[in-house]
Amino acid sequence: MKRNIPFAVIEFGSTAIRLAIAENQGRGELRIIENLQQAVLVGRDSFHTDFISEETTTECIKAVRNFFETLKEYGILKKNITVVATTAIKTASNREQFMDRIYISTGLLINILDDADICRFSYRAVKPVLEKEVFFKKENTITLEVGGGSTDCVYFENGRVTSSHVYEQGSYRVNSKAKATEKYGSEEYQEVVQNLIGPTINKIKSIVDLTHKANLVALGSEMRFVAHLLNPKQTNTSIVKVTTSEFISVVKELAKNSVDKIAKKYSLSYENAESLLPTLMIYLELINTFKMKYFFVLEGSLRSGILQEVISTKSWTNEFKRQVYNSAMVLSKKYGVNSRFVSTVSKYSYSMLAFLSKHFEFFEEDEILLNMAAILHGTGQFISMTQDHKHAMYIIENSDLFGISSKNKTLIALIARYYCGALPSSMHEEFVLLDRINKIRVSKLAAILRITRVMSLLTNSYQKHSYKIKEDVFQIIFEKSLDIAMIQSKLINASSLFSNIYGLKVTIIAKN
Amino acid sequence: MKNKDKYINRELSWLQFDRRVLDEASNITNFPLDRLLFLTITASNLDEFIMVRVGGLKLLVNSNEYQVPDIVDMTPKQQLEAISKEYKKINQDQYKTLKNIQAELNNSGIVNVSIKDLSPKDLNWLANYFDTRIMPVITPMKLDLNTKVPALENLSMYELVVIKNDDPQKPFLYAAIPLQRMLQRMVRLPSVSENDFRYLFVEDIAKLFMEQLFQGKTIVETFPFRLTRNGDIAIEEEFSENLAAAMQSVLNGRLSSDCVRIEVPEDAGKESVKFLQNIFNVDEAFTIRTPGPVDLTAFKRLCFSGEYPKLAAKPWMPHPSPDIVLTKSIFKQIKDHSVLLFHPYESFDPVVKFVQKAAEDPDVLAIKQVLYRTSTDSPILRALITAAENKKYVTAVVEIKARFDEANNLHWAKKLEDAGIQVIYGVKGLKTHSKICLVVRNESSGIVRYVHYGTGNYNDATAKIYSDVGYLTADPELGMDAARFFNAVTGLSDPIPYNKIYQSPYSIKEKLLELIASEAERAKDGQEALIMAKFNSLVDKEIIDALYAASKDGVKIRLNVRGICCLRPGEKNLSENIKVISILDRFLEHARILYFHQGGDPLLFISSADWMERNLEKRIELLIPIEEEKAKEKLIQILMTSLSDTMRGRMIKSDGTYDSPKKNPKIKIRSQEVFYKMAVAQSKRKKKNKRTRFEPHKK
Repeated sequence: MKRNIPFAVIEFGSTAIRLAIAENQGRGELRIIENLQQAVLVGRDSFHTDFISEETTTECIKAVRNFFETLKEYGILKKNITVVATTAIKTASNREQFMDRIYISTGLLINILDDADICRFSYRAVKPVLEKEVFFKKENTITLEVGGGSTDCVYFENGRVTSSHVYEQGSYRVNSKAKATEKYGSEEYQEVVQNLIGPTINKIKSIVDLTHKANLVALGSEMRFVAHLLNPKQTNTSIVKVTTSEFISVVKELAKNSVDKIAKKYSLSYENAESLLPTLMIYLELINTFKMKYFFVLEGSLRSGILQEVISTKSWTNEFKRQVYNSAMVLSKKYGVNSRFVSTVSKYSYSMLAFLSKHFEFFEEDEILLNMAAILHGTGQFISMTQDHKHAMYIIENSDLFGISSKNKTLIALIARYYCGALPSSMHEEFVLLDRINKIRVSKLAAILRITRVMSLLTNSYQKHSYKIKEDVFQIIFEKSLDIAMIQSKLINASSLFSNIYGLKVTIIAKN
Repeated sequence: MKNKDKYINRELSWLQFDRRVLDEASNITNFPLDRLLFLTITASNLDEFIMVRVGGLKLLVNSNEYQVPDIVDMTPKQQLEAISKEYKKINQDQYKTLKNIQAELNNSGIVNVSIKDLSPKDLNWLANYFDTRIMPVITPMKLDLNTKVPALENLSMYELVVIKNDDPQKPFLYAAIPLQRMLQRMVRLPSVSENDFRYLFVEDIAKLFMEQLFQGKTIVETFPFRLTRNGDIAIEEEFSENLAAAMQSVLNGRLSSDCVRIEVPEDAGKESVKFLQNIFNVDEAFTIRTPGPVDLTAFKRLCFSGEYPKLAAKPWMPHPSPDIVLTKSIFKQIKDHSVLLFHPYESFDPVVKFVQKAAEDPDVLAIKQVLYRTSTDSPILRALITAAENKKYVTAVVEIKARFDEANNLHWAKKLEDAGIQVIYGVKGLKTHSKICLVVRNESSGIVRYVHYGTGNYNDATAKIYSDVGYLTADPELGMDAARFFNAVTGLSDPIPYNKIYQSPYSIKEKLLELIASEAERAKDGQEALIMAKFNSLVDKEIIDALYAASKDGVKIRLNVRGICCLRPGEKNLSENIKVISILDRFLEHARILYFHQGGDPLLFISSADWMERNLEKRIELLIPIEEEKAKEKLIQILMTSLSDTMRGRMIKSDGTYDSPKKNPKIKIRSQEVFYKMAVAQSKRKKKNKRTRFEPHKK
C-alpha cells in the first residue's frame, strides 16, 4: 500500500532552531508528528550586535545537521523541507552570508519571512481550529504569538480579519534587557518587563474595537505548556480555555523560581525556561488591559501554519483571499471610502481581468494586487481631493495589510497611484525602482483600474456586462441602457494607458 | 527528633536485607537446593556491597574533604565500623547455614569429600586431574612487600603458598597461585554410587599436590584467599572525548584499584594473614575469616545443574499473556488495546517478538531502544541488527556505565555499531536507566508509534527470574512522549515537555512529592487517602519526609520495598500509618508500581526508578501513567496481593529489622504463587477458548 511521506519545516527563530514534521491526513487536515528544537541564540547576536557570529553560524549548521537524522528516519527529501527564518536573521546585517553558509553546509535554502508571510501563516495555523468555534464567528478575536524577537498579532471581527501586525518586541528582547538590571522573576524584574512591553500592548489596543468584547487566542509553546500544566488530561484538545485567575497563579508560581529550577521542574531547556516568564507576562499584560476573565490557548504555531499551507497546495485560497480583502475593506472604511463604490470597482476589475487573461499573460497574484488597489485607491481623498492618488499610495505603503508582503504592498500602492492622473513614468521614483516585469505588471493592472473606475461611475452599482475584442477595439457591453455620453470624456482620459499597454482602443456599448 | 531515630542507615538496611535472604536460606520449609541458592545470593549481594558501598565509604574516609555525615548523622568511618561488625556476624551465620544445608544434601548423596576420606582410587583420579587440568594452567606469582605487587584479579580465588627461606632476614617467601580463570571451582569426583555428587574444591586439590609445583622447597603453609577491590570507580565524563575508551580505562582501573576486603579460611596462619593484609593494605575490619570454603557463590553451579529436581522446588515456567497472541499481528493487537505484561509469570516473548517483528516489517521506519543490561546472546540485539540490515533506522542508547556490565555492554555496543546501528553511549553525567523501546511505523492512516515501557531490562534471561511489568501501547500521546524522550537523550532536540510521562532527573521527584502532598491534603479534608507502592529501595530523604508528613495527616501508606529502606515504619508520632513489607521468594521482586488514591479516581504508574536520590537525581528514569482501565485493575491486583503476602512477605519493623515469619498465618497468601497460578489459569482458559478449526496455509 502506498504510504504518505511526511514533510517538514525548519524555522530559524531568535532563540532556537525548530523542526516540525507533519503528514497530510487528507481533507486539508494536518497532523504534526515530530517537534524538535535546538537552542541557538541567533537573537543574542543580531539584536545586540546586528551581526550573526561565526560561532552561532556553526551552531546553526550543527543543529540542522542533527535534524537531518530525524528527517532521514522519515524518508523526507530536501525538496519536502520548507526552511524559513524570522526576525533574528532578517535583522542581521550579514544575513546573506549567513544564508549562503547554511546553503553550502546543508543544501537548504532559507526563505526569510516578511511580516505579511508571518501573519498569513499565523492565520493558517489558527483557522482550521477557530472556524469550528462559535465565539470566533460571533465575537471579535485577537490571536497572538509571542516569539523570541517579535510578537505576531491578527485581529478578527466576527471571524473576518480586519488587521494584522508584527511587533518587534519578543520574550528574548524583553528578558535580555530586564535581566541585565534585575534578578530574574523578582518584583523589580517584572516591573521592568511591564515597562518594556507597555508600548506594544498600547499598539495592540489601538487596533481592537474597544466597544465590543474581544477574545484572546494565544499560540506558541509557552502557552501550550501553561494549558497542559493547568489541565494535563486535555492532551488531545486543539483549543483549551484558561481562566485568568488560573493563569495568574502559574505566572506567580514561576516568578518565585530561578531559571534553573524552572528548567529542572518542568523538563525544559534552559533557554525555554528563561523565555517562559517574560512570554507569559506579555500575555498577562494584554489580558489585564482587556480585563479578560478567560482566554484560549490553541495548538498551533508559525510552523504549523507553514505546514498547513504546504498541504493546501495553493497559498491563496478563496477563503484566505476573502480575509485579505476584508482587512483592506476595513482600512478603506477607516479613510472614509464609499464601500459600495469600491466594491463595484472591485467586481468590474475582477471580471475584466478574467476576460483579459484569455488573451494576455498575468501572474496568479495579479488578481489580488488589482483587487486590493481597487479597494484602497480612494483612501487618499481622506487627506485631500487634490493629488489624492499620491496620498493613496502613501497610505497603502504605510499600512499593515493582512496577508500582503511588503513587495506586493508597493505594487498595490503604485497601481492605486496610477488610478488617475499621470501615467507611469521614469520620472516617478517608486516606479523606477521596480524591475522591468513589475513595471509592466503595475501598468497592466493600473490600466484596468482606470477603466473599471469609469465603469463604476457610469453604472453606480454593478451591472451585468460582457467584454469583446473586435480587431483593435476592446468593447465593454452593458445589457442595460446607460447615458454613455456623460462619461465619454472620462473614458478617453482613462483609456490612454490601456491603449498603450494592450494596444486596444476602449469603447463602452450599452444595449440602448 | 534526632535523625538516627527518624531514619535507618542505608548500609545497615542493605545488610538487613542480606540477613533476610539468609533467613530464607535457613528456612527448612524451602527445598535444600533453593536454600543453597539463597545462600549464594547472600554471598554475591555481599560481594557487590563490599565493592560498591564499602569501596565508596573507604574513598570517603581517605579523602578529608568528604567527611559529611549520612542521613542518620553517621560519619563514613562510623558507618564502616558498624558495617564490619554486622557483616562479620552475617558471615558466621552464613557458614552455620551452609553446614545445615550440607548435612541435608549429604543425605541425597551430594557430599563435599574431605581429603582424609579419599579412597586410593580417588587419589589416583585427582593426581591425574591435577597433572592434566590444573598444573598446565597455573603459574605461581611471587608476592613480596619490597617489589611491585602483581595485579591480582577482583573476586578471583588464589592459593597462598608460604615457603621456608634460608635467609634469616626473610624467613618466608610467598607465592599466589591463581585458581579460578580456567579452572572449575567445584570438581566432581567419579561416581561411586548412582546419582551421587561427590566434590572437592579446586583449592583442596591444589593443596594436595602443591609440592609438585615447588619441588625441593619446604611448604610451610598453603590456603586459599580472595580479594575484593573497590568497584566505586567513576569516569570523569566531562573530560572524556571518547566515552568508550574512558570506560575501558575504568575497567583496567578496576583490576588494580584498592583492595577493600580479603577473605581467608579461619584456620589460616596469623602471620600469613598479616602478610596479606600488609601487602594488599586491608585492615582487620574487612579481613574475613570463613569457617568453610571461601566464596560461597561457587555453589551456584550445583544449584543450576538441574540434576536433582527433587531437591529444588518445581520451576514455575512463564505462560503466554492472555492479552496478546503471538501468531497474529502484534502491531494490530497493540493498536486495538494496550497490553500490560507481568513477567515472569507472563512470558517475555511478546517483548522479544515486538522487536523482532519490527525488524522485519516493511512498514517500520525506525526502532529506538535503551539497553542497560542484556543477555550475552540476546534475541533483542539480534533483532536490532536484522532491522539495521533491513535498512530501518535503528538507534540504541547503550548505557555503558551500567556497573559491572561495562565490559559486556562495550562488547555488544561495538557489534551494534558494526551493523550500522546508531549507538549512543548514554548521556553525559547521567546513567540512562529507563526501559523503553519505540517502533515507528508508516501505516495507511499515517505514522503510528508503538512503545514498550517497562520496569525491567531488555534481558530475556533475567526476565525469567525477575518480576517486572511492561506496557505495550500505541497511545499517541505516550508515543509522542517516547519520540521526545529519544530526541532528547540522543541530543537531536532540547527537552520538550512531555504530554503524560515524567522523567528524572527533572520531574519524577517533583511529581512524587506533589502526589504524596495531594493525598495528604485529601486526608486533612477528611477524605479517604491511600498510597500503595512497590519498588526496590527507599532512600531519598525528601520523599521519606513527605511520606512521614502524609502519614501524620492520616494518609494510609502501604509500601512493598524489596531491599534497602531508610524509612522507619510504624513509629509513634512519625509513621504510624505506614507499613512496609518486603517479599523474598522464587523471583526477584523488581517491578515498580505506584498507586495514589486521589479521592477514588486512582492514578497508577509504572516506573524504572527506585525512590533513591541516585535514581531520582542522577539517572535518566521514567514514570509512566497507566490509564487503561484493564491495565489499572491488573496493577491494583498486583499491589494488593503483594501487600497482603503472609507467607513470603515480612514486615519491616521500626528499627529496620524484619519481623519473624508467621508460623501459621490465619490467611495464607504467597503472592508469587498467586500470580503464577493466575497466569496458569488464564493461559488454560485461553487455550480452552481457542476455536478448533483447521486453518489452511494460504499463499
